[in-house]
Amino acid sequence: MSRPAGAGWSPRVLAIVGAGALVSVAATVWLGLWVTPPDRTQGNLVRLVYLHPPVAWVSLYLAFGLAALSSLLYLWKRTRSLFWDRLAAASVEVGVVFTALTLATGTLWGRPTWGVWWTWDARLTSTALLLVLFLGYLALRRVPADPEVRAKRCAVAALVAFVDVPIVHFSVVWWQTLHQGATVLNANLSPTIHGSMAWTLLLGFVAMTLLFVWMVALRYRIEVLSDRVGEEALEVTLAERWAEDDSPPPADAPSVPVPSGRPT
Amino acid sequence: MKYVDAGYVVALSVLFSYSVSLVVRRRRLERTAGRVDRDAR
Repeated sequence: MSRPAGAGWSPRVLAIVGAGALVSVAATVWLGLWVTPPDRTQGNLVRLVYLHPPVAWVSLYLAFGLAALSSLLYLWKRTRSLFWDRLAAASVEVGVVFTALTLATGTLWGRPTWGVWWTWDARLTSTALLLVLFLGYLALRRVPADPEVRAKRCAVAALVAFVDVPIVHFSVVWWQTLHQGATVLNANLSPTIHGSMAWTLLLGFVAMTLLFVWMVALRYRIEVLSDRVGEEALEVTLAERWAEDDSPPPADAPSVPVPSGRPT
Repeated sequence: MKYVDAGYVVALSVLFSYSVSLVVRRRRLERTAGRVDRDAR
């Protein structure tokens, strides 16, 4: 069966990626909560490491990185296509969910470790700012406009918001923060986690990456469908209006000058 | 463990709810697109 252009992945590929995400998330939860040992310093709290950094990885690097890259490719005239705009939109929405989760899991880790739910630490503040900036992007997408105009203004907004991503990444290096430094992506690229804990963390990254890919593919399809439904509904409405205009007016209708020609 | 449990419950619940919402939105739009296609013809 042929599928319309821009429909995204085939349902079979989507199902395989979704199943892979489900299995790997379940395995991460099982290993993280029941198999890996407690940490010498943090005790059982370390189990949040299998959740919080993978979620942050998706939001910070994958989702907003993909959104920035897609926006750049849209703005570049040689590669300009609504495909990139839709991909950026899909990626940002998924990224906003993951950023909110990064803050939620971070605050649940911060309370027993630091003694506070929230502090205006550089890492926390810049991450919260990132969430606000990309919520602004999603709000901008809802402003009614021609698809090309909307795509261009949203691409610029995504690139402006993306400036905060390196600030979030380097915040623990540039400023004195309560938040610890990078466990994996540190300056020496030598992870400070080993054994079953390292493998479980790696599996957590794979699981969240697969989940992100599945969600973006699904969200992209929604973007394509809503554009199609919007355009076709508009065409049907316009056709009905024109048909009404062409029909003779009722006998008691007031005499109102009718503009010649149809809107283009 | 209560903070760890809460972290996992919050994360998994949000991810599950968002996934379900995506599937529902896609199905609804596919139905609407089919209906609009028929109306357009």
